[in-house]
Amino acid sequence: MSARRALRSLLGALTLITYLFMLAPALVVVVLAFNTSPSSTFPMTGLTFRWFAELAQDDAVLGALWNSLVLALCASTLSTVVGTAAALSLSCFRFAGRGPMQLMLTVPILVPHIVLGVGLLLAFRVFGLAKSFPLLVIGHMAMTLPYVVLTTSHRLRAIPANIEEAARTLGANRIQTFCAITLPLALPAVLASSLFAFMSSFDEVTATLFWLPANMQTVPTQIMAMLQFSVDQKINALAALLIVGSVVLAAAALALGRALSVDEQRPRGKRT
Amino acid sequence: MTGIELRHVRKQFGATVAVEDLNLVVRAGEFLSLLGPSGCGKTTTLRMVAGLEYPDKGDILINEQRINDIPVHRRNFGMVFQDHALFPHKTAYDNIAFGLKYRQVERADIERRVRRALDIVRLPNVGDRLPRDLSGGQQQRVALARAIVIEPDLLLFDEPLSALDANLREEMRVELKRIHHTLAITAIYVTHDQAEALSMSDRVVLMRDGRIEQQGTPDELYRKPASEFSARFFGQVNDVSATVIAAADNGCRVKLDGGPEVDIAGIRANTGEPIKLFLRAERAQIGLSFPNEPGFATFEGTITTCDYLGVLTRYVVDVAGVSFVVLQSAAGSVLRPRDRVTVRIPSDAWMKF
Repeated sequence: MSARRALRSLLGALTLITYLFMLAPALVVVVLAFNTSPSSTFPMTGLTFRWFAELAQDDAVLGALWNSLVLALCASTLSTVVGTAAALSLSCFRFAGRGPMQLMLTVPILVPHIVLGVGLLLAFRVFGLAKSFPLLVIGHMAMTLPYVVLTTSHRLRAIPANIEEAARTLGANRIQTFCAITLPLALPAVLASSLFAFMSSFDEVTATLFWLPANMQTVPTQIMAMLQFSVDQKINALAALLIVGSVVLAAAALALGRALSVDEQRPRGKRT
Repeated sequence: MTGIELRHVRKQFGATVAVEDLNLVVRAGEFLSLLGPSGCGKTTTLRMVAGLEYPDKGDILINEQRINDIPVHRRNFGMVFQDHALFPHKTAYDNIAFGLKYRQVERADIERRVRRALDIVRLPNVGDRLPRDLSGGQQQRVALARAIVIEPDLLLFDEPLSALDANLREEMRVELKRIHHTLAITAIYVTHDQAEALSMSDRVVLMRDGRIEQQGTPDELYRKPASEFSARFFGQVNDVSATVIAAADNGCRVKLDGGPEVDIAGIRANTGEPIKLFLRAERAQIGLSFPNEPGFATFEGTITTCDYLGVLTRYVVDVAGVSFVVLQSAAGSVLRPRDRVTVRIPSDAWMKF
């Protein structure tokens, strides 16, 4: 018994250390964002909101933030709509080319972003297209689509076919069945995957560097640009905001998913 | 009330023929069972009637009107699925009201009809619960209420009780029968359970390999099976090889291979012809002795095994090298293996196909 307890404590300690290892750097950034010293030094010399105030005055950062938000919103919305439609066709219908289509939709997750970045850039050239915001959105869509397709089709496959059939025998046509039954049941997965798409688009830097139109920055590329000159306290402040934002968003998504999801497990009643 | 007719219907999935040249008439108001082992095409037949599968060949007709091309959602057939298929994100009330929303029924009327449906299935107080908070039996009742609330022309059941435990199944059988009687509606019931089919149906259609093996009232199917398959589907059957030693107009005398000679009524055969005879286990009787009566054959034998089944006991009796399985009421049973017993078989109990 005591050996087992010791093992459990050991496991607990190991878990704690792992979390600490992963989260401490982020925590340091958040803490240092409030440091009065203009360089990132320890110990802290005092508490201040100065860097946040300065950040709010910085047009380059605000512009980048706006660009990132619009980009992530466009890319994730489009990915969600297209990805859900693709997931629906992949999980509900058998058609020629279904296998290759599934592969094509999942493969961007495995391809290094630098390859995607260069590849799409070359493709732009072949078709004689100049770099532009819509093309940037398309690039981000290609990268975020797999998350939506994988998560949503997995969820859709878990919905028993006879539930949809029951709706149809009761008088709902295919579209009404989708709206009243399929979509509500798949909604937690759809929302979760669109959030994931949003965050990964917001975060993406490697491929984005290749696709950015002239005179345009997103938050990650802006941070990179700023880092080239100095380690500015404003960067810490920006990073702190992003970390807090991500945590809040993720927690919200989790709570929303839990509120929306209906127990899909086997019913409580006896079964033989 | 509406009946339905299937004419030369065929359905194939890949290389497998699920239903082959099926002709079937379901009369208005009738409770008809499609019975058969898994893979016999009974569910496919039901799904074609529902409109969930499209027949490759043949017609499905209602009042002489071909309905093949009418989509599922415009057929107005209520269907109860094997694992109830309730919408997990909707309350029992909303599950039942679902079909009415697509039928231009007024709000107040929806409420009234849902309440009535819940009353019919005897679940008046569960309207606001989600399916996961209902027991298995309650879920199946809600599924039934959902199917009948739309006042369907036809009620289709796809093994609705197979997910329930034995006691509940028994209870729901009675309930389904009562509701069918109350609503006076045509029903098609798919099952692989012969007891279910026999106890509930006006007519039973026994299917095998995509075709109809035999159809008739439960009594006809049990008493006059048309084939060995039919005979074996309803209980345990002995088969014995024999040779005809004397033929008459209304029967014959045979010698069971390796066993005694027996008189058989109602089977015509030629002298010298080898035949295969079948006998339901429950038509034979065993006892320590029987009075000599005309119309019965009696043999001496030895019990080899006894299986106590509750209501019945199954004996295997060896009669001069031929084994007979005998099912007999277990009440007052005192017989043991190795007991010497007499087997008595009515001469009209033998069957030949």
